[in-house]
Amino acid sequence: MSHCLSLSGEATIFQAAELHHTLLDALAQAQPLRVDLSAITEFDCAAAQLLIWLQREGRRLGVPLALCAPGAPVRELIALLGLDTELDVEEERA
Amino acid sequence: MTLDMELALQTFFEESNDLLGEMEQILLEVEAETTTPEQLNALFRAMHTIKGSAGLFALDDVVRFTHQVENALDRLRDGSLRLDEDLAGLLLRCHDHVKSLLDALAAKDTLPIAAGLPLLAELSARLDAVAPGHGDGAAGPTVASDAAAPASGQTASSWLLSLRFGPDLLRNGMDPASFIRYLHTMGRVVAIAPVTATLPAGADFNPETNYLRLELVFEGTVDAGALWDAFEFVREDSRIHICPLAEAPAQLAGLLAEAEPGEAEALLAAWLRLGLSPQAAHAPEPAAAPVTAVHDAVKTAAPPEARQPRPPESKFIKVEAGKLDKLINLIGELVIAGAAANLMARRADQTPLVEATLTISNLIEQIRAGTLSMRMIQIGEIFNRFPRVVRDVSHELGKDIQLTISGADTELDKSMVDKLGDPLMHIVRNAIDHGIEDSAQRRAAGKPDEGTIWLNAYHESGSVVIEVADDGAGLRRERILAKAIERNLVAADAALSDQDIFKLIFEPGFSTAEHVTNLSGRGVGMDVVRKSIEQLRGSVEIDSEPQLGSTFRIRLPLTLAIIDGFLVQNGDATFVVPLEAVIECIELPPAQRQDNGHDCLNLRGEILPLLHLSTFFELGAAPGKRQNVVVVRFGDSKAGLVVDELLGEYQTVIKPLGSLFRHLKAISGSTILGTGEVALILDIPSLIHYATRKESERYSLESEWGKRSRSGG
Amino acid sequence: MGALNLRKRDHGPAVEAAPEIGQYLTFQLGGETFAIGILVIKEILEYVPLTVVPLLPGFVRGVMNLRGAVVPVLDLSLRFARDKTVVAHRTCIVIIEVSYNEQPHYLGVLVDTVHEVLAIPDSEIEPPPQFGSKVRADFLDGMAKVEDHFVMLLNVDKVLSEDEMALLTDMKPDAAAAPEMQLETE
Repeated sequence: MSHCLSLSGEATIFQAAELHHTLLDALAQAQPLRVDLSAITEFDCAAAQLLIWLQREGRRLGVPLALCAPGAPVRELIALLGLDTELDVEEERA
Repeated sequence: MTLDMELALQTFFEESNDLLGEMEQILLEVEAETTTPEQLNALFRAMHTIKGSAGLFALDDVVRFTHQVENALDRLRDGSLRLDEDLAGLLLRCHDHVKSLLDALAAKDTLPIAAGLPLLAELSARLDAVAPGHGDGAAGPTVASDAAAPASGQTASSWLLSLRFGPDLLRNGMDPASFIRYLHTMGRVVAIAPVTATLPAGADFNPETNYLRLELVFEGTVDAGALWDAFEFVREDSRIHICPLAEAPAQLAGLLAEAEPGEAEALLAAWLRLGLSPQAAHAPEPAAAPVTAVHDAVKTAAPPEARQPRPPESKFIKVEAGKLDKLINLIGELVIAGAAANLMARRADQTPLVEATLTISNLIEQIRAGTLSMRMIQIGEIFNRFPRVVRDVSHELGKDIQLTISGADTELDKSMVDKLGDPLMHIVRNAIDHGIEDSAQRRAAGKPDEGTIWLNAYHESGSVVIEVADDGAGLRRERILAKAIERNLVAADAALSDQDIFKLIFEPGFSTAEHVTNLSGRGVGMDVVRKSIEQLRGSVEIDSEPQLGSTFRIRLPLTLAIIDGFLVQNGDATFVVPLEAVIECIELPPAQRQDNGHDCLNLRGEILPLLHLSTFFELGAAPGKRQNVVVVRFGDSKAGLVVDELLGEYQTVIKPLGSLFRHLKAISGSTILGTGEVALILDIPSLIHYATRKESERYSLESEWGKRSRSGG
Repeated sequence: MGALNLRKRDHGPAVEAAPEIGQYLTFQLGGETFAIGILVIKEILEYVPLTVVPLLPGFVRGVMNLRGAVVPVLDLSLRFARDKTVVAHRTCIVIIEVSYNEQPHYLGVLVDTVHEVLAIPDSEIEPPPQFGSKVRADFLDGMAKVEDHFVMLLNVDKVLSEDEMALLTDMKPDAAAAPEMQLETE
């Protein structure tokens, strides 16, 4: 059964450390994981890095992982910095 | 892990304020004469730097407004706009608006955006009236022989930006995205490719460390300098490489060589996506874009030097005021300790030791003088505000007034400068409002239409003197006296000198103006002015001549912390006379030794009034075997203080006596001697003044007494 | 110089944990016993010669050097409009911390003798009499019954009121000098 994690509110350098822990925990569950990005209101490079790391960890550890439903803040940053080459984000909701 | 965002923001506010100050200075100067390219460049750079920094902090409202101003300043630079008085006025108002935006941001208030809209409209109108590049070139910069002079940037140029942000970027409160957004305001980001090869897997990943590198192609009508400026704040921790796109292929090899291990592949892939591939190194082709020799400077990674917003000031260091105060306190204690050591050496009668402690005291004195001078700043720093004030206020009142400043390099203690600003401001406003007459009256009096106000400062015998003079109508003696009598401040038949009458304007609630304009009647009365000056242990006197004008003269002590004094003994009590007031010391001839208070000495033909300290202070001690006279000066007069013993020069720290003693006359503070005893410091002007008053009261009491006894009552 | 916070409100609860019992320093002044809450007392010193500050009302006996700070010393007896304190071998200076303009200041007061610190429960404290006591009523916080005699608890803020004292120092000291002239008029 896949585990759904919804990130909401601000996802920036200020939340980075906490977010990192949350994601570590989620990975440790070793369950397929869907991360819903639709409720993120603010998104910066620190958060983007976390997602890039998360995705790579998923592949490395063999945990099926999907980042999905990017809201406007997430889309904007990805477009601004050309991060579509580093991040694979699905459109559908979790 | 703390983020230095707040600190960086603070620095931004401070530096922007400095730049705004420069901008205002130039705008006020250029009104008078013709403008130089350097001035126009400086104006442009000021606004440009503020805009750039604001962009880094994502202060979009500031960026938007300053961008428009920058456009106008750019046109000024290239000559398509001329700087006339109207434009200068508009730019001054824009300056004020930027300042108010920044102030609101600093105070975390809502931004007064609306106030800027009419300004933006005016700027637009100005800009539309003149198409870019239509200048006669007279005011524009000439050959780009210094790296700072930008090409007029009429055509777009393409650039490769290789942004290797440092690992602490995020921790320092910055984000790569804001730089890119900023670039978008300057032109177009044609293509961008992130490189995340250094992002570690597993536990090595630190969520607050930056692993992001960006390679991008940018197109815009900018020059290298503008691009460099965008990254001013990260130049130190990050490796930023900017070069014209045409030269990029030749640069890539070098960039590859500098890359992190493991990055090479990702870099090559990124560059490929940008349409670039490394070229075999050979002489760079002449750039295809119409650039000037300026761009050669960009080939190396070093940024152009001339981009300092504040040119010659690099020889100054910013020091936190608190640290300096601590240092000064310590030195004060050192002075006392040095004196104590010297005293003990003398008492032990050990000559080598006495000499050694004297050497130490000498060194301490030099350190003291040096440290105190660190706190001294030029009074020009407050004087600088006044050209603007005079301009604005005289325009508002429809008067034509010019301001002449002299002695701006006179130094005084920083703490005083801070407290002097408001009183001075009020006196100047008063001079403009009530002192200088309007043009019609001036013409009728045979004076030039244009009134003059002088600000002057100089040192005089241990004090700083600041003068505000005007060539207006002068203070109206009768009017002041009448008002004072009406307010019961003086008796109707009191005999007052002109000085005394003029000083009445410092009484609370006093204003003889027929109509109080909203300027001077702002609740900061002359009484507050006097109090502020007295708090600085200063005094203010007024000279005025009808029709000719008035001069307000403020006298302040040079320093508040340490005093060079002269010790005197009176019975058991030791007093310190400020050395700057001492003219000479002589022995009191035995023939003159009397006890009462009103005797004089013939000092080489001059009459010197004598004041017996013991009598005056009611110390009750019998006079010693020998008595001495310390001749002191106050203002233009002299007096002789009769004391028992003279103990010599003494330099020490002033210990204020505290608010309990705030009404104490004749004593300005205390100090601790080498023996540990407390000695009181005499305030000579106050002492003389008080003694004079006591004398005159005594006379009037005596004459009252005389009258009554005569009338037999 | 020293701690912020006059009344040491943060220490308050700890000291007054046993509710309604205060600690007071008792001392002798002109034959009467007075007390001051110990929270504001910094130090007790043996009498040292003071530097007299001229042109001040008598209750300001002078200033002293307290480890590099110049501290004024007051004669409470004169402040209470009684006789000048005579310095004897048991005379002490009690250093008290007061707050003027939210800044801590130190003041010394002369006392004849210092007695012990007493714990006085609030229940033993009566309000000061409106009249008839030898000291101005507003100078007292109350009267405490200790064994079989009364101890007057001083209201330090009022006694050492900066405003009041500063005002007094402004009055012409020679108002005191003039009486000899006035003797024979009217």
